[in-house]
Amino acid sequence: MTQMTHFLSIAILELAAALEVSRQTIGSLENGRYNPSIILAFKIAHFFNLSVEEIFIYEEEEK
Amino acid sequence: MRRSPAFYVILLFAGICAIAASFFFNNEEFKAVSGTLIGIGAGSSGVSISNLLMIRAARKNPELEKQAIIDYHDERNTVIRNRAKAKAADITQWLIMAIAYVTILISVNKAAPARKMNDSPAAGAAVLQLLNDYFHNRITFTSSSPSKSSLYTSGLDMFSRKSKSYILS
Repeated sequence: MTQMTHFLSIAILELAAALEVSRQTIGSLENGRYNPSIILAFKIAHFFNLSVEEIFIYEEEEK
Repeated sequence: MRRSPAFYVILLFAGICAIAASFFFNNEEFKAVSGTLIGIGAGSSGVSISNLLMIRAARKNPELEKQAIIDYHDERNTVIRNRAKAKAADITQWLIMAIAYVTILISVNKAAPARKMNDSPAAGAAVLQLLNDYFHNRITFTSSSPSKSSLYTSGLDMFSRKSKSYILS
């Protein structure tokens, strides 16, 4: 996510406004502190014209 | 979430009516009703006035209002809010249970002499009288060596009419 926003030079505020979420949510998503809902993940994918798998990578938690 | 201004206007009117109605209950019997009406009236009118002022401020600043709506419906904020509510409910549940047990234990202490009275009526009556006197501060239990607590109870004793003192060795 961080790379995407940097690459497309999109400000967090702009992305937050487009997705209708708070900028804290975008910040948390970039830092990996928050896992989005499926709907938000699809909204982000649609915004960047990519698939969900290209933006979010599933990492299994170490037990 | 805020409701429509009409709702708050009606609530404000109802609050004022409740405060006005409380003045008709000036009888000693309806003192509690009067107090409740004043409380409800003051609370509802305060809430409605503050919300009406906030609605007016939001109308002057539509950008801020839009941002506030986004923040309220934001999924991360919703998750945090729900988690906080769940935690509060969890704590409340334990608190209610704790209060219930404390109340039960207090009732057991008061009911104990009555149970004893069934076993031996004379001893039970004596214990009941003793506890009754103790709870009405008519007697104090003082130890032979005065401590802080015994001084405190004897201080309470000063206000009682019939004073007896039982010295415990």
